[in-house]
Amino acid sequence: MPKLPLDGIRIVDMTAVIGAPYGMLLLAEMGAEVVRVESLRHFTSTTRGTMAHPPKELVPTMGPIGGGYPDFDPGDRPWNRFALFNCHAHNKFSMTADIATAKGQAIFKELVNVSDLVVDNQTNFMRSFGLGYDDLRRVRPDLIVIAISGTGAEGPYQGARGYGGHFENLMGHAWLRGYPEDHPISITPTVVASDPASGAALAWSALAALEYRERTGQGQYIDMSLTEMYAHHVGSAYLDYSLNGRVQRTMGNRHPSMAPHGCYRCRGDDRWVVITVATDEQWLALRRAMGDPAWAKDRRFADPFRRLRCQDLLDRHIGEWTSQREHLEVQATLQKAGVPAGAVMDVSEIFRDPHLRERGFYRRVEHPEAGVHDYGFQFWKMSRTPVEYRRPPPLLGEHNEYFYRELLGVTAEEYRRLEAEGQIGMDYPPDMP
Amino acid sequence: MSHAFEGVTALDMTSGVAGPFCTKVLAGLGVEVIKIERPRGGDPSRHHGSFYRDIPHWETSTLFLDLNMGKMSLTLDVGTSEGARIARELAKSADIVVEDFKPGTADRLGVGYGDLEAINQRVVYTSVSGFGQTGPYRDYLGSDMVFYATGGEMCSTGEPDRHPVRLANYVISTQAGNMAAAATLMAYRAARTSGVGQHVDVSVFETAASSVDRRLQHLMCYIYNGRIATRADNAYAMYPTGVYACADGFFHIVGGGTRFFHRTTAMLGMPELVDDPRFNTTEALLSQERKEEFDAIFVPWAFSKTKAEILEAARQHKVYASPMLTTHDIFHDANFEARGFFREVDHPATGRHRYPGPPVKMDRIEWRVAPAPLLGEHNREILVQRLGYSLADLARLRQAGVI
Repeated sequence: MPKLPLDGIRIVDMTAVIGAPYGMLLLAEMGAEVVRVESLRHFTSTTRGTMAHPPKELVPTMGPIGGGYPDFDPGDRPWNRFALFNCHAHNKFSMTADIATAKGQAIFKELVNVSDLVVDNQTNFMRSFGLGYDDLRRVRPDLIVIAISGTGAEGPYQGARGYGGHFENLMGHAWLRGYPEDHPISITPTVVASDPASGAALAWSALAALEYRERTGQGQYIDMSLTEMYAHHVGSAYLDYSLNGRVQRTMGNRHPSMAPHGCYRCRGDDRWVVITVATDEQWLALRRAMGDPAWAKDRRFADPFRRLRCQDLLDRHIGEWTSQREHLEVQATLQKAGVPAGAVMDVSEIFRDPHLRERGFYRRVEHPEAGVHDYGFQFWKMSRTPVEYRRPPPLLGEHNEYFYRELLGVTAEEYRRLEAEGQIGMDYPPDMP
Repeated sequence: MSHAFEGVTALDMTSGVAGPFCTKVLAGLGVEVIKIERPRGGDPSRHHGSFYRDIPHWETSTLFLDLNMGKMSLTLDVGTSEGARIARELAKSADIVVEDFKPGTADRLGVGYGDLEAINQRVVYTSVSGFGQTGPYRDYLGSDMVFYATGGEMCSTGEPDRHPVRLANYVISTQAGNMAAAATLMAYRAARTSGVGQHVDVSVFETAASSVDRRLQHLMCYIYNGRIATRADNAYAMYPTGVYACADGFFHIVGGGTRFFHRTTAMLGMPELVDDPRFNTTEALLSQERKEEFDAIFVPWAFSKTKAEILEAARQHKVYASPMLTTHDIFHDANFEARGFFREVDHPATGRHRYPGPPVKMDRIEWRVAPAPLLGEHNREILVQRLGYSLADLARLRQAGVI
């Protein structure tokens, strides 16, 4: 088996919540030894749970994310059974240390000394403990530090709090999505595409910095702002303002030059299909697939410009046709006819999806505390260095022995002392909510 | 300061959004990207608006200008045998090839991974497609909304009693390009040490299905306990949570519950509300009636503040709130300005304008900021100076429709 691209690279992972951990996953899958350094005394919400000890009876009421435990049972160690964590943590390692203490900071620096990168998304927090880039480069001069934040590590908005959605507001995404009729009240900031975007950018930034280090011997500091990175995902809207002074706003499901381009109701409860037509050829294919109804021959739909102008009527007709059919049936029929169409799939459909199954998107894994489940894990396919599910999401502190004893050479006696001091362990204190 | 991947070369046979975003990242990091465009009309994104001054022209599409910054343009019809031969000649010395033909097409044209691997063993060959190179959906057609519907969380985007709604513009395809850039550089790193390249298969559908744009989390939750996320789930958080109006626009806040309510009340200058019996019980935090009572305090406060004031108040009190800025606001934003995000770019057809600058600020690595190429701008440089064709050859190739 060939070496993975990041074999031999060790990364200290101080990331929380989801966007940055997703980027760390990409690096871990490609062979980097990614070690999460977690504190037993500080519980970072929305990472290993929204609470350390959620009351079992509350779990089913905590929403799809907060309540994401196997069979709604948080178990004895809920932090090892949390779906949001376990969806991004395979192939990573976990050790515990409390960097709020002097001892924890010393351990952290020893770890940095034998690592290539440090990634954090809590820059101010790291700096306040004397673990900012300027401190760490003294430990290891060629270190690479990547700090991910919403609005940048420097600048007037430094320290602004938020989830991905809040920063999407600041770079304009909120204004560009949602229902056009009553925008922006109805937008749904709960879906956050900027998080995985920052994860991908974190991965290629790390690769660029490693390449640079190999060429020059020098490490560096990377200040990654989610707003700046994600701005590039709506770059043409920025240029429309810059070149034309136009402030774009949402078109809902419509498109500036394609029609039909909509989401249509199908048979069943909350079932929908989207259909997007880019060319006359696709329009004719759609007509044929619908049985070439009389309405479709109307001159008002004869060319793209007219279809764009008469979209309300066009959408009503198409919606009548789709509403008598199953969404997956419409998808299959139209795709076969050469029309870009897709069912609005929920997670149960994605779980069963024959295409993902055939391409090996899922892997059945036994997790020591969460049980046996299929995990979706394949982001891309590589012919020589395929993505492998090498180990399940780490239990909190699962790799303490390895990192403290083997890597850092801590004696057995010192190890026991650190356990007694609460640096090393596998449980949050029972009184932590 | 220098570029990270100075001296690395990529042959880019992509168009539209996903593939070009991948090579936009590569170009920004210093890879020399030769973009192959069809001789008549070029990349179809050249024909999608908006256009400079709203006058349609293949050199003035904002979509194209944004996605193709810093690349070279060579017109070449790879569908002709001579065009495919020239592409192979270029691939011989390239480190990276990125293509987004329909699956199977590149092989048929003689520019597939097998063809190029045979003449350049170390080449990294990235295929970006809607649904991947294999599997039952391999030949499916897509669009940004189709990818969001099938792979993403469109089912939970929007309000429960209305139709699902997509995200902005082309963000799902863009994310696929972003992932393709990461994957390509991973494979490049492996090839640099082993001397052997590989085929990278990136599917937009899969990057959506496996992304944490809620999809991967919701999928994991479903696998763990069978719950299916819907648009109704957006109402879970405790007040004040959601979109509110302020003096000059709107903002979004997640400011309720035991974790956040005390910060919100501090921001309002009314810390005593935390202990107010109207709000300080768990039931009260979930009660619709009490929410209205709280809104009677919160809404007038919000209306008295501008977007900038809301942001500053939230920042000071560590409240998770932010105003919804428009592109106008963003081009006048203090933070983007102070960080020097926007860069002036001079383009021959549209003039000098401000463009989004480095997406990531790196201490020692310079991000290449350069205009998108004119159609065929580098034909002569590439064909004559590098491949040794004569000017007469060029005229012949042009006449034959190859370039």
